[in-house]
Amino acid sequence: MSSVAERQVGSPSLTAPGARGAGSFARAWRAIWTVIGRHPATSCEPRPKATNWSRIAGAAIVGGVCLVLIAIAQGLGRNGDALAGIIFWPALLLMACAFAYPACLPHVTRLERLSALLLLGQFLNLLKLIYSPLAFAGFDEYLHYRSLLDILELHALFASNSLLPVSPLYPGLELVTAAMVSLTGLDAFTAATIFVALARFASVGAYFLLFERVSGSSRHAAIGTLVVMSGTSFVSFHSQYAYETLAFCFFLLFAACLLPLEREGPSRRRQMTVLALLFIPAIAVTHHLTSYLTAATATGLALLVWVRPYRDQPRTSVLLVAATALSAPFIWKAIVSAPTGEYLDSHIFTALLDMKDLLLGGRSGRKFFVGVDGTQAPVALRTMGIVSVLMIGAGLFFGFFRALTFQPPVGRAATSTPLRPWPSSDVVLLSLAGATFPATVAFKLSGSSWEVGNRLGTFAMVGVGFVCAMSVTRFFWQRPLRTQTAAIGLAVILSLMISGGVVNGWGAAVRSKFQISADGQSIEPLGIAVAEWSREFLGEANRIVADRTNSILQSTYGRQDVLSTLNDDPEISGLYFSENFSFPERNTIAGGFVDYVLVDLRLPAASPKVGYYYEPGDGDLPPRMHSLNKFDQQDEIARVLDAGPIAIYDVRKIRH
Amino acid sequence: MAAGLALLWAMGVWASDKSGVPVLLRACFVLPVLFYVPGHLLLRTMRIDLRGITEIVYAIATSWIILIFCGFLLHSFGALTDGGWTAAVGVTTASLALLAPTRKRARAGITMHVARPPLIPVAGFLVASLLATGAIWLATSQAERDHPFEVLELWMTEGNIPGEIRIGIRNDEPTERVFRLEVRGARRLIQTEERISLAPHTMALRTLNVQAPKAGGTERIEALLFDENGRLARRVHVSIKAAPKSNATQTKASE
Repeated sequence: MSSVAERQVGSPSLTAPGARGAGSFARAWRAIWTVIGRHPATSCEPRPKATNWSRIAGAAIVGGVCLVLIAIAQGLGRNGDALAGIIFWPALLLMACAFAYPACLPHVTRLERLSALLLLGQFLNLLKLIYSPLAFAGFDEYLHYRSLLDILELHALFASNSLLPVSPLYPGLELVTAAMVSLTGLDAFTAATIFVALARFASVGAYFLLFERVSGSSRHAAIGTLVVMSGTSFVSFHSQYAYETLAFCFFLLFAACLLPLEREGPSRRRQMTVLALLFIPAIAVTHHLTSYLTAATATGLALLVWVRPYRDQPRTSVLLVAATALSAPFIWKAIVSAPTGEYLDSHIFTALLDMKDLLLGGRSGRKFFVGVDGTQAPVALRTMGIVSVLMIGAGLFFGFFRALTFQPPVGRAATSTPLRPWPSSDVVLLSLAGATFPATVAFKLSGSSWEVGNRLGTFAMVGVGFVCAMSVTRFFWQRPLRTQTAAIGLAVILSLMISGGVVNGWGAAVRSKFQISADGQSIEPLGIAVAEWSREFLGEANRIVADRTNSILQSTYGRQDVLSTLNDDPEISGLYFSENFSFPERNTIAGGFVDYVLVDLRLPAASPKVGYYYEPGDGDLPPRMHSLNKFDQQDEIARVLDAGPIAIYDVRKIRH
Repeated sequence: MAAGLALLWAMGVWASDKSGVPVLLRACFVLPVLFYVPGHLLLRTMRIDLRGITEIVYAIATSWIILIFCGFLLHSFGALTDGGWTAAVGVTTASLALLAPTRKRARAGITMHVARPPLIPVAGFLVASLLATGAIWLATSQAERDHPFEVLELWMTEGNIPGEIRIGIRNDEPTERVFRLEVRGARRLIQTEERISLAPHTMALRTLNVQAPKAGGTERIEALLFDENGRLARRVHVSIKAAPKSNATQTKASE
């Protein structure tokens, strides 16, 4: 996997089947093929000049200035100033553009491209740190923070985590962070932040290496990586402290070992097979879905390699990897008795049912760029979001057949690469992965299948990056377009796509004043102080019910056991929405063995930003103030804490 | 040699933990080794020949894999502690260093040409780093100032003895606050404290013994906290059962 020399790649004379025939049909087909499948006859990869470090340093300075502007914008946003968005988005666009330009210039060395990409990856990662520099911001982050705290404080694995019961059963992420905390003395948040930055470094490197090894071109790899950065998950979801962040990084490195195996020599094949095998158990103990998709990837490649009728195929290697990848998740699931089947099945079946309803017209789809509370994103942001998806669509259109018929560089092992039935199994697999992108967008049309589309979209984006880069290097980047202006144009389009990806995946990227049930925007010192009070004065591991935001704070800072339907606890939203405190509420408390009820009096003020107050499906109407105050009327219930908008009630006497 | 260095490093980590070395220094000492060396040695042990950025990326990832499996091992021995981690990482790294084949040395007489780093780009990267650090510092200071709600807590819990109640007030605001506290029962005033002055980020604790008026009955005890302007700021209540002693007595007060 040493550096791949810049070289002429691609078959210059690939023609579509049937294109040689005479007549109008053949001419029409030739015209279509020119648009969607013909590879250029001339070299697409000019010889690079020496590394221009000044250009990268210049981009870094521009990026640094943009980060300062973004920090200023977030500060204004905290005060509710409308100017925040006006500063934030252009700064983000400029930052992405500053790094995209040197990364995809034609006459640039591999090192320069890679440096630009790694820096852009880190600068995009800093967006989240600037957004929330003192504490975790994402809901999922707190779920894993709880698992991490359990390992650090209980000195054991597999402790119960009521908010996400599967999290402690996949402790790969938490173990790495626990090692950091134990050996350095850093606090958990700082350790997690450093870890996520390193994971981002490894992921960007892995994307680049994967695309470079498959395409043989550093420019193709750079453009592919930039396209991947425009995915909805890259900037927000995969900069979270969550198990998929690490597992996906492992998956990319696994794919970079496995996919180009067909073109390697025997010694290299052995090395890469061993390395790929090393990643499989690590993925299996880190994240369930990624381990299943790793198995699917390995199996897909094994099928392609086995079916391809040539003698020197690495059949044993891919079969070994596929068999290991297929068995690892199930072995681990059996060892820890993980309820991943129920957890994933419920999500996937709900998503499929929702899609069916949507397609049959029984349900209206999700409104894009409109929050649950009805607020609509500004036109400029909507345009950026749409441009991002449209550009990916165009890239897939112009690049898909080119990718399928792309002849990769010949490795050291093979003297000639056969073209039929397909030039390379890895390229076919990547192209097919890219082709699933429209399906993942379709999943995002519905509210409940959105999450499934988002998760699968991350994997589809790996193929999308490769295919879109193919469309740029093989179709758009013909000789007349190889000018400075065209290079700037490409950088602008890619930066628009990246910014659009942020709009699509992280709508609330600009901070605002405190909001209801808005994860990062709802976490503030009072909620944390109340959670810390709970731990100090109520003790740990009490069974408590709370709204979405306070539940994650109580679970982590408070170290309480929060009731959750994921943990087979009774539904608790009725406790808050009912006007009177009667038998159903008493039953909920008794049945759920509830010790304390946390009431947040800010909730009636607004709609929840993420869709619900207490449990999924309860966000249509806010709870009434007098419904929340009903606990004060009961003699058996003690109001043990009043922190202004937040109160905690002791309901243990109800159970006795 | 490498194995010895690995063990020395582990001892250094242990010693720095015990001797109270600043966290930042410890992180600088630990992290480069923790996240690179074990993976690098494992790749060499498995005779996987990688170079440059590829080697760095895979060494980092394989180091994580080693840490994950060290974690499982420690868990199975019930040693998932700071000391356990230090020992596990030290021993694993030393073992890998022993197993890893030595790299061929460069032939004598061949000197590696190291280009002098160009000054302008280095200065540029330095400026960029300063700007990025400045952005984070700015964001941190803004976040520290962002207090959308007053952090003032009043609480009341029942003590271990029947009739004992504990009251606490915490002021987490950056300014000193003065309050008046009233504790009331059913149609009676149990206690009033006219002036409770709380400096920023401090709390006051009170413990009372209260008896309900009827033997065997319960009484709702309410604590009311009034601010400097006489407005009701916080209110808590508990219902208590009868205590053996009569008369409200302040048993302990601490600030």
